[in-house]
Amino acid sequence: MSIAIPKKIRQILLLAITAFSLRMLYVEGLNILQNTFDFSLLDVFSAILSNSYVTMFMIISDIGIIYLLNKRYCYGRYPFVRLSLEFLSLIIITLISTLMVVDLKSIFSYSTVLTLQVNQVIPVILGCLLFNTIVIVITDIFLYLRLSQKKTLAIEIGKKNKARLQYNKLKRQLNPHFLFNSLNVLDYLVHTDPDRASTFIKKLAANYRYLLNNEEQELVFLHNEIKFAQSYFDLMKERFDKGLEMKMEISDSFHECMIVPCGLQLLIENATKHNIISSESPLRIEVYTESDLIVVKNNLQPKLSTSPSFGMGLNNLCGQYTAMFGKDVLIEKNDRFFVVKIPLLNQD
Amino acid sequence: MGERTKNKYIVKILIHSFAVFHAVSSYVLQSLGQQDAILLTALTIGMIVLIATHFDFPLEVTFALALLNSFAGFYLGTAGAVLLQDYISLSPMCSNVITTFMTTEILGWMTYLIAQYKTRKE
Repeated sequence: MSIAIPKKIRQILLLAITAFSLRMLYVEGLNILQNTFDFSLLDVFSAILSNSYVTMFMIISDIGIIYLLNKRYCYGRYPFVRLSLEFLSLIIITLISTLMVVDLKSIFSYSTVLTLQVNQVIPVILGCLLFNTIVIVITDIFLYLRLSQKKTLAIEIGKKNKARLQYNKLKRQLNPHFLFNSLNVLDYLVHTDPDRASTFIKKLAANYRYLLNNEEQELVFLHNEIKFAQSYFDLMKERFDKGLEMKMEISDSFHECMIVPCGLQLLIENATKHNIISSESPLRIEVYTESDLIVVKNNLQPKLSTSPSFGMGLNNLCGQYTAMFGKDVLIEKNDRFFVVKIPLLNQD
Repeated sequence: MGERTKNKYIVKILIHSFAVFHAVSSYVLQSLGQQDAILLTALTIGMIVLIATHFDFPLEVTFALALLNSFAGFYLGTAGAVLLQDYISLSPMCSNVITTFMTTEILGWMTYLIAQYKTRKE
Protein backbone atom coordinates (compact mmCIF):
# COMPACT_ATOMS: atom_id res chain seq x y z
CA MET A 1 0.00 0.00 0.00
CA SER A 2 1.65 3.26 -1.09
CA ILE A 3 1.02 6.55 0.62
CA ALA A 4 0.89 9.58 -1.67
CA ILE A 5 3.05 12.35 -0.22
CA PRO A 6 2.26 15.80 -1.60
CA LYS A 7 4.95 17.25 -3.85
CA LYS A 8 5.75 20.21 -1.58
CA ILE A 9 6.32 17.96 1.42
CA ARG A 10 8.56 15.69 -0.65
CA GLN A 11 10.58 18.70 -1.75
CA ILE A 12 10.87 20.02 1.82
CA LEU A 13 11.93 16.58 3.08
CA LEU A 14 14.55 16.30 0.35
CA LEU A 15 15.99 19.71 1.18
CA ALA A 16 15.95 19.00 4.92
CA ILE A 17 17.84 15.74 4.34
CA THR A 18 20.31 17.55 2.06
CA ALA A 19 20.92 20.26 4.68
CA PHE A 20 21.38 17.57 7.33
CA SER A 21 23.81 15.59 5.15
CA LEU A 22 25.88 18.64 4.26
CA ARG A 23 26.11 19.70 7.88
CA MET A 24 27.11 16.20 9.09
CA LEU A 25 29.55 15.75 6.20
CA TYR A 26 31.28 19.05 6.82
CA VAL A 27 31.55 18.93 10.60
CA GLU A 28 32.44 15.26 10.92
CA GLY A 29 34.77 15.49 7.93
CA LEU A 30 36.37 18.55 9.48
CA ASN A 31 36.99 16.69 12.75
CA ILE A 32 38.66 13.81 10.94
CA LEU A 33 40.78 16.09 8.76
CA GLN A 34 41.77 18.30 11.73
CA ASN A 35 43.08 15.20 13.47
CA THR A 36 44.82 13.91 10.33
CA PHE A 37 46.46 17.16 9.22
CA ASP A 38 46.75 18.81 12.62
CA PHE A 39 45.26 22.26 12.01
CA SER A 40 42.78 24.53 13.73
CA LEU A 41 39.85 25.91 11.73
CA LEU A 42 40.00 29.13 13.71
CA ASP A 43 43.63 29.72 12.68
CA VAL A 44 42.79 28.94 9.06
CA PHE A 45 39.87 31.39 9.21
CA SER A 46 42.10 34.12 10.63
CA ALA A 47 44.66 33.51 7.91
CA ILE A 48 42.06 33.69 5.15
CA LEU A 49 40.27 36.76 6.51
CA SER A 50 43.52 38.60 7.14
CA ASN A 51 43.97 38.59 3.37
CA SER A 52 41.64 41.47 2.53
CA TYR A 53 41.76 40.89 -1.24
CA VAL A 54 40.56 37.31 -0.86
CA THR A 55 37.90 38.31 1.66
CA MET A 56 36.59 41.09 -0.60
CA PHE A 57 36.63 38.76 -3.60
CA MET A 58 34.65 36.10 -1.74
CA ILE A 59 32.07 38.54 -0.37
CA ILE A 60 31.55 40.36 -3.68
CA SER A 61 31.37 37.09 -5.67
CA ASP A 62 28.93 35.49 -3.25
CA ILE A 63 26.62 38.50 -3.14
CA GLY A 64 26.91 39.01 -6.90
CA ILE A 65 26.02 35.40 -7.64
CA ILE A 66 22.87 35.57 -5.50
CA TYR A 67 21.70 38.81 -7.14
CA LEU A 68 22.42 37.42 -10.62
CA LEU A 69 20.61 34.15 -9.91
CA ASN A 70 17.64 36.06 -8.55
CA LYS A 71 17.25 37.93 -11.84
CA ARG A 72 16.88 34.65 -13.70
CA TYR A 73 15.26 32.38 -11.08
CA CYS A 74 13.11 34.28 -8.64
CA TYR A 75 12.31 32.71 -5.27
CA GLY A 76 9.95 29.77 -5.32
CA ARG A 77 9.93 29.32 -9.09
CA TYR A 78 12.69 26.76 -9.79
CA PRO A 79 14.11 26.05 -6.32
CA PHE A 80 16.21 23.01 -7.23
CA VAL A 81 17.73 24.64 -10.30
CA ARG A 82 18.57 27.73 -8.27
CA LEU A 83 20.05 25.73 -5.38
CA SER A 84 22.11 23.58 -7.77
CA LEU A 85 23.52 26.69 -9.43
CA GLU A 86 24.24 28.23 -6.02
CA PHE A 87 26.09 25.06 -5.00
CA LEU A 88 28.11 25.03 -8.24
CA SER A 89 28.99 28.71 -7.78
CA LEU A 90 29.99 28.00 -4.19
CA ILE A 91 32.45 25.31 -5.34
CA ILE A 92 33.93 27.53 -8.06
CA ILE A 93 34.33 30.55 -5.75
CA THR A 94 35.85 28.33 -3.06
CA LEU A 95 38.40 26.90 -5.49
CA ILE A 96 39.35 30.34 -6.81
CA SER A 97 39.68 31.74 -3.28
CA THR A 98 41.83 28.76 -2.29
CA LEU A 99 44.14 29.41 -5.23
CA MET A 100 44.36 33.05 -4.20
CA VAL A 101 45.26 32.14 -0.59
CA VAL A 102 47.64 29.27 -1.10
CA ASP A 103 51.11 29.93 -2.40
CA LEU A 104 51.06 27.81 -5.55
CA LYS A 105 54.82 27.24 -5.61
CA SER A 106 54.91 25.83 -2.10
CA ILE A 107 52.02 23.41 -2.53
CA PHE A 108 53.90 21.33 -5.04
CA SER A 109 56.97 19.54 -3.85
CA TYR A 110 59.65 19.08 -6.45
CA SER A 111 60.62 15.49 -6.03
CA THR A 112 60.72 12.69 -8.53
CA VAL A 113 56.96 12.74 -8.59
CA LEU A 114 55.03 15.98 -8.48
CA THR A 115 52.81 15.71 -5.43
CA LEU A 116 50.25 18.10 -4.08
CA GLN A 117 50.80 19.26 -0.50
CA VAL A 118 47.27 18.46 0.64
CA ASN A 119 48.00 19.41 4.24
CA GLN A 120 48.20 23.02 3.07
CA VAL A 121 45.33 23.00 0.62
CA ILE A 122 42.65 21.05 2.52
CA PRO A 123 42.37 23.42 5.52
CA VAL A 124 42.12 26.44 3.21
CA ILE A 125 39.44 24.76 1.10
CA LEU A 126 37.43 23.94 4.23
CA GLY A 127 37.81 27.46 5.61
CA CYS A 128 36.82 29.11 2.31
CA LEU A 129 33.92 26.67 1.88
CA LEU A 130 32.47 27.50 5.29
CA PHE A 131 32.94 31.25 4.85
CA ASN A 132 31.37 31.29 1.39
CA THR A 133 28.47 29.10 2.53
CA ILE A 134 27.69 31.50 5.37
CA VAL A 135 27.87 34.57 3.12
CA ILE A 136 25.73 32.99 0.38
CA VAL A 137 23.10 31.77 2.83
CA ILE A 138 22.87 35.11 4.66
CA THR A 139 22.69 37.02 1.36
CA ASP A 140 19.91 34.70 0.16
CA ILE A 141 17.85 35.31 3.30
CA PHE A 142 18.51 39.06 3.27
CA LEU A 143 17.62 39.46 -0.42
CA TYR A 144 14.42 37.48 0.03
CA LEU A 145 13.36 39.67 2.96
CA ARG A 146 14.08 42.82 0.96
CA LEU A 147 12.08 41.57 -2.03
CA SER A 148 9.19 40.53 0.25
CA GLN A 149 9.10 44.03 1.71
CA LYS A 150 9.08 45.56 -1.78
CA LYS A 151 6.31 43.17 -2.86
CA THR A 152 4.24 44.00 0.25
CA LEU A 153 4.72 47.70 -0.42
CA ALA A 154 3.74 47.30 -4.08
CA ILE A 155 0.60 45.40 -3.07
CA GLU A 156 -0.31 48.12 -0.55
CA ILE A 157 0.25 50.83 -3.16
CA GLY A 158 -1.81 48.80 -5.60
CA LYS A 159 -4.61 48.49 -3.03
CA LYS A 160 -4.42 52.23 -2.37
CA ASN A 161 -4.57 52.99 -6.09
CA LYS A 162 -7.40 50.51 -6.52
CA ALA A 163 -9.31 52.09 -3.63
CA ARG A 164 -8.74 55.52 -5.15
CA LEU A 165 -9.84 54.28 -8.57
CA GLN A 166 -12.93 52.67 -7.07
CA TYR A 167 -13.72 55.87 -5.20
CA ASN A 168 -13.39 57.85 -8.42
CA LYS A 169 -15.50 55.23 -10.23
CA LEU A 170 -18.16 55.59 -7.54
CA LYS A 171 -17.93 59.34 -7.87
CA ARG A 172 -18.37 58.98 -11.62
CA GLN A 173 -21.33 56.68 -11.07
CA LEU A 174 -23.00 59.44 -9.17
CA ASN A 175 -21.24 62.05 -11.30
CA PRO A 176 -23.75 64.90 -11.32
CA HIS A 177 -22.33 66.37 -14.53
CA PHE A 178 -22.68 63.14 -16.45
CA LEU A 179 -26.18 62.51 -15.07
CA PHE A 180 -27.18 66.16 -15.58
CA ASN A 181 -26.02 66.15 -19.20
CA SER A 182 -27.63 62.77 -19.85
CA LEU A 183 -30.97 63.95 -18.39
CA ASN A 184 -30.81 67.11 -20.51
CA VAL A 185 -30.30 65.01 -23.64
CA LEU A 186 -33.09 62.70 -22.48
CA ASP A 187 -35.41 65.64 -21.94
CA TYR A 188 -34.82 66.73 -25.54
CA LEU A 189 -35.23 63.20 -26.94
CA VAL A 190 -38.44 62.47 -25.01
CA HIS A 191 -40.19 65.31 -26.88
CA THR A 192 -38.55 64.84 -30.28
CA ASP A 193 -37.95 61.14 -30.69
CA PRO A 194 -39.44 58.82 -28.04
CA ASP A 195 -37.92 55.70 -29.62
CA ARG A 196 -34.44 57.18 -29.39
CA ALA A 197 -35.26 58.31 -25.86
CA SER A 198 -36.15 54.74 -24.93
CA THR A 199 -32.88 53.43 -26.44
CA PHE A 200 -30.99 56.17 -24.60
CA ILE A 201 -32.54 55.18 -21.24
CA LYS A 202 -31.70 51.51 -21.82
CA LYS A 203 -28.07 52.37 -22.63
CA LEU A 204 -27.83 54.64 -19.59
CA ALA A 205 -29.22 51.87 -17.39
CA ALA A 206 -26.83 49.33 -18.96
CA ASN A 207 -23.91 51.65 -18.21
CA TYR A 208 -24.82 51.90 -14.54
CA ARG A 209 -25.45 48.14 -14.38
CA TYR A 210 -21.96 47.48 -15.76
CA LEU A 211 -20.43 49.89 -13.23
CA LEU A 212 -22.27 48.20 -10.34
CA ASN A 213 -21.50 44.64 -11.52
CA ASN A 214 -17.79 45.31 -11.91
CA GLU A 215 -17.23 47.43 -8.82
CA GLU A 216 -15.13 44.76 -7.09
CA GLN A 217 -13.45 43.23 -10.17
CA GLU A 218 -9.75 43.78 -10.75
CA LEU A 219 -10.01 42.74 -14.41
CA VAL A 220 -12.77 42.18 -16.97
CA PHE A 221 -12.83 40.59 -20.42
CA LEU A 222 -12.02 43.01 -23.22
CA HIS A 223 -15.20 42.17 -25.16
CA ASN A 224 -17.31 43.29 -22.16
CA GLU A 225 -15.30 46.48 -21.77
CA ILE A 226 -15.66 47.19 -25.49
CA LYS A 227 -19.47 46.86 -25.25
CA PHE A 228 -19.49 49.21 -22.25
CA ALA A 229 -17.19 51.75 -23.94
CA GLN A 230 -19.34 51.64 -27.10
CA SER A 231 -22.51 52.11 -25.04
CA TYR A 232 -20.94 55.06 -23.19
CA PHE A 233 -19.81 56.57 -26.49
CA ASP A 234 -23.36 56.20 -27.89
CA LEU A 235 -24.67 58.27 -24.96
CA MET A 236 -22.02 60.94 -25.59
CA LYS A 237 -22.82 60.83 -29.30
CA GLU A 238 -26.46 61.71 -28.56
CA ARG A 239 -25.16 64.84 -26.89
CA PHE A 240 -22.41 65.86 -29.30
CA ASP A 241 -23.76 64.36 -32.53
CA LYS A 242 -21.38 65.09 -35.43
CA GLY A 243 -18.82 66.73 -33.11
CA LEU A 244 -17.76 63.32 -31.81
CA GLU A 245 -16.56 60.36 -33.84
CA MET A 246 -15.11 57.04 -32.78
CA LYS A 247 -13.58 54.19 -34.76
CA MET A 248 -12.99 50.86 -33.01
CA GLU A 249 -10.84 48.24 -34.73
CA ILE A 250 -10.20 45.34 -32.41
CA SER A 251 -9.75 41.85 -33.76
CA ASP A 252 -11.86 39.07 -32.19
CA SER A 253 -8.66 37.29 -31.17
CA PHE A 254 -8.15 39.90 -28.44
CA HIS A 255 -11.64 39.65 -26.99
CA GLU A 256 -10.67 37.11 -24.32
CA CYS A 257 -7.83 39.31 -23.03
CA MET A 258 -8.33 41.13 -19.74
CA ILE A 259 -8.37 44.82 -18.94
CA VAL A 260 -9.03 46.96 -15.86
CA PRO A 261 -12.80 47.73 -15.76
CA CYS A 262 -13.77 51.17 -17.07
CA GLY A 263 -10.21 51.67 -18.41
CA LEU A 264 -11.42 52.30 -21.99
CA GLN A 265 -14.39 54.36 -20.83
CA LEU A 266 -12.10 56.54 -18.70
CA LEU A 267 -9.94 57.37 -21.71
CA ILE A 268 -12.96 58.22 -23.87
CA GLU A 269 -14.36 60.35 -21.05
CA ASN A 270 -11.00 62.12 -20.65
CA ALA A 271 -10.86 62.84 -24.37
CA THR A 272 -14.33 64.48 -24.30
CA LYS A 273 -13.57 66.34 -21.04
CA HIS A 274 -10.34 67.99 -22.13
CA ASN A 275 -10.90 68.66 -25.82
CA ILE A 276 -13.08 71.02 -27.83
CA ILE A 277 -15.95 69.15 -29.52
CA SER A 278 -17.83 70.79 -32.37
CA SER A 279 -19.22 69.76 -35.74
CA GLU A 280 -16.77 72.18 -37.44
CA SER A 281 -13.87 70.57 -35.60
CA PRO A 282 -14.92 67.07 -34.56
CA LEU A 283 -13.09 65.08 -31.89
CA ARG A 284 -11.98 61.80 -33.46
CA ILE A 285 -11.23 58.89 -31.18
CA GLU A 286 -9.56 55.76 -32.49
CA VAL A 287 -9.40 52.52 -30.53
CA TYR A 288 -7.23 49.72 -31.89
CA THR A 289 -4.75 47.08 -30.83
CA GLU A 290 -0.97 47.12 -31.21
CA SER A 291 0.80 43.84 -30.30
CA ASP A 292 -0.32 43.29 -26.65
CA LEU A 293 -1.58 46.82 -26.09
CA ILE A 294 -4.91 48.51 -26.64
CA VAL A 295 -4.48 52.04 -27.98
CA VAL A 296 -6.84 54.98 -27.53
CA LYS A 297 -5.85 57.88 -29.73
CA ASN A 298 -7.59 61.23 -30.16
CA ASN A 299 -6.75 64.39 -32.04
CA LEU A 300 -5.64 67.14 -29.72
CA GLN A 301 -7.78 70.28 -29.55
CA PRO A 302 -7.51 71.23 -25.90
CA LYS A 303 -10.08 73.35 -24.09
CA LEU A 304 -8.76 76.61 -22.72
CA SER A 305 -9.91 75.83 -19.18
CA THR A 306 -9.14 72.44 -17.62
CA SER A 307 -10.93 70.80 -14.72
CA PRO A 308 -9.05 70.72 -11.38
CA SER A 309 -8.98 66.89 -11.40
CA PHE A 310 -6.94 66.85 -14.62
CA GLY A 311 -4.93 63.67 -14.91
CA MET A 312 -6.15 62.07 -11.67
CA GLY A 313 -8.13 59.23 -13.24
CA LEU A 314 -5.34 58.49 -15.72
CA ASN A 315 -2.71 58.62 -12.97
CA ASN A 316 -4.71 56.18 -10.87
CA LEU A 317 -5.08 53.84 -13.85
CA CYS A 318 -1.30 53.96 -14.47
CA GLY A 319 -0.62 53.37 -10.78
CA GLN A 320 -2.93 50.37 -10.68
CA TYR A 321 -1.30 48.69 -13.67
CA THR A 322 2.20 49.30 -12.31
CA ALA A 323 1.58 48.26 -8.73
CA MET A 324 -0.75 45.31 -9.28
CA PHE A 325 0.43 43.85 -12.58
CA GLY A 326 3.95 45.27 -13.00
CA LYS A 327 3.06 46.74 -16.38
CA ASP A 328 3.24 50.32 -17.62
CA VAL A 329 0.53 52.38 -19.28
CA LEU A 330 2.22 54.31 -22.09
CA ILE A 331 1.23 57.93 -22.77
CA GLU A 332 2.37 59.76 -25.90
CA LYS A 333 1.51 63.36 -26.66
CA ASN A 334 2.48 65.60 -29.51
CA ASP A 335 0.99 68.72 -31.18
CA ARG A 336 -1.62 66.73 -33.01
CA PHE A 337 -2.49 63.62 -31.04
CA PHE A 338 -2.88 62.28 -27.53
CA VAL A 339 -2.26 58.53 -27.32
CA VAL A 340 -2.67 56.16 -24.40
CA LYS A 341 -1.63 52.49 -24.63
CA ILE A 342 -2.97 50.08 -22.02
CA PRO A 343 -1.46 46.59 -21.64
CA LEU A 344 -3.75 43.68 -22.34
CA LEU A 345 -3.45 40.86 -19.82
CA ASN A 346 -3.97 37.12 -20.19
CA GLN A 347 -6.53 35.28 -18.14
CA ASP A 348 -3.85 33.66 -15.94
CA MET B 1 -7.51 35.76 18.10
CA GLY B 2 -5.55 37.88 15.56
CA GLU B 3 -3.34 36.26 12.93
CA ARG B 4 -0.18 37.61 14.54
CA THR B 5 -1.10 36.37 18.02
CA LYS B 6 -2.10 32.97 16.63
CA ASN B 7 1.22 32.66 14.80
CA LYS B 8 3.18 33.63 17.91
CA TYR B 9 1.27 31.08 19.96
CA ILE B 10 2.00 28.27 17.49
CA VAL B 11 5.67 29.24 17.23
CA LYS B 12 5.96 29.47 21.02
CA ILE B 13 4.70 25.90 21.43
CA LEU B 14 6.96 24.70 18.61
CA ILE B 15 10.14 26.29 19.93
CA HIS B 16 9.64 25.35 23.57
CA SER B 17 8.69 21.76 22.64
CA PHE B 18 11.76 21.35 20.48
CA ALA B 19 13.99 22.94 23.11
CA VAL B 20 12.75 20.47 25.73
CA PHE B 21 13.06 17.60 23.28
CA HIS B 22 16.63 18.68 22.46
CA ALA B 23 17.56 18.79 26.14
CA VAL B 24 15.94 15.43 26.92
CA SER B 25 17.57 13.77 23.89
CA SER B 26 20.97 15.16 24.84
CA TYR B 27 20.58 13.86 28.41
CA VAL B 28 19.37 10.42 27.39
CA LEU B 29 22.02 9.87 24.72
CA GLN B 30 24.84 11.08 26.93
CA SER B 31 23.61 8.83 29.71
CA LEU B 32 23.84 5.93 27.28
CA GLY B 33 27.32 7.04 26.23
CA GLN B 34 26.18 7.83 22.70
CA GLN B 35 26.91 10.80 20.42
CA ASP B 36 24.04 13.27 20.34
CA ALA B 37 25.12 15.31 17.27
CA ILE B 38 23.03 13.42 14.71
CA LEU B 39 19.73 13.57 16.58
CA LEU B 40 20.20 17.17 17.73
CA THR B 41 21.05 18.31 14.19
CA ALA B 42 17.97 16.54 12.83
CA LEU B 43 15.78 18.14 15.51
CA THR B 44 17.20 21.63 14.85
CA ILE B 45 16.62 21.30 11.11
CA GLY B 46 13.13 19.93 11.78
CA MET B 47 12.23 22.90 13.98
CA ILE B 48 13.53 25.47 11.48
CA VAL B 49 11.79 23.77 8.55
CA LEU B 50 8.48 23.72 10.46
CA ILE B 51 8.74 27.42 11.37
CA ALA B 52 9.78 28.40 7.82
CA THR B 53 6.99 26.35 6.27
CA HIS B 54 4.43 27.85 8.67
CA PHE B 55 5.41 31.33 7.46
CA ASP B 56 5.39 30.29 3.77
CA PHE B 57 9.04 30.81 3.08
CA PRO B 58 10.07 29.51 -0.37
CA LEU B 59 12.11 26.30 -0.53
CA GLU B 60 15.41 28.04 -1.21
CA VAL B 61 15.11 30.25 1.86
CA THR B 62 13.93 27.31 4.01
CA PHE B 63 17.03 25.40 2.94
CA ALA B 64 19.25 28.42 3.66
CA LEU B 65 17.73 28.86 7.12
CA ALA B 66 18.04 25.15 7.90
CA LEU B 67 21.69 25.02 6.82
CA LEU B 68 22.65 28.23 8.62
CA ASN B 69 20.91 27.21 11.83
CA SER B 70 22.37 23.69 11.82
CA PHE B 71 25.89 25.11 11.66
CA ALA B 72 25.09 27.90 14.12
CA GLY B 73 23.53 25.38 16.48
CA PHE B 74 26.58 23.14 16.42
CA TYR B 75 29.10 25.91 17.04
CA LEU B 76 26.95 27.79 19.56
CA GLY B 77 26.19 24.59 21.43
CA THR B 78 29.80 23.44 21.51
CA ALA B 79 31.19 26.85 22.52
CA GLY B 80 28.41 27.39 25.06
CA ALA B 81 29.04 24.04 26.72
CA VAL B 82 32.76 24.78 27.01
CA LEU B 83 32.01 28.20 28.54
CA LEU B 84 29.61 26.75 31.09
CA GLN B 85 32.09 24.07 32.08
CA ASP B 86 34.93 26.58 32.45
CA TYR B 87 33.14 29.46 34.17
CA ILE B 88 30.34 27.86 36.17
CA SER B 89 32.08 24.52 36.73
CA LEU B 90 29.19 22.39 35.61
CA SER B 91 29.55 18.78 34.63
CA PRO B 92 29.89 18.11 30.89
CA MET B 93 26.47 16.43 30.78
CA CYS B 94 24.75 19.29 32.60
CA SER B 95 26.40 21.98 30.51
CA ASN B 96 25.52 20.15 27.28
CA VAL B 97 21.87 19.83 28.27
CA ILE B 98 21.57 23.49 29.31
CA THR B 99 23.41 24.76 26.24
CA THR B 100 21.33 22.57 23.94
CA PHE B 101 18.13 23.96 25.42
CA MET B 102 19.28 27.59 25.22
CA THR B 103 20.71 27.25 21.72
CA THR B 104 17.45 25.79 20.43
CA GLU B 105 15.49 28.64 21.98
CA ILE B 106 17.86 31.25 20.48
CA LEU B 107 17.79 29.71 17.00
CA GLY B 108 14.01 29.27 17.09
CA TRP B 109 13.30 32.83 18.15
CA MET B 110 15.83 34.26 15.67
CA THR B 111 14.04 32.41 12.88
CA TYR B 112 10.72 33.71 14.17
CA LEU B 113 12.09 37.28 14.15
CA ILE B 114 13.16 36.83 10.53
CA ALA B 115 9.67 35.58 9.70
CA GLN B 116 8.12 38.54 11.52
CA TYR B 117 10.29 40.95 9.54
CA LYS B 118 9.00 39.31 6.37
CA THR B 119 5.33 39.57 7.32
CA ARG B 120 5.54 43.06 8.77
CA LYS B 121 3.72 45.58 6.62
CA GLU B 122 5.45 48.82 5.68
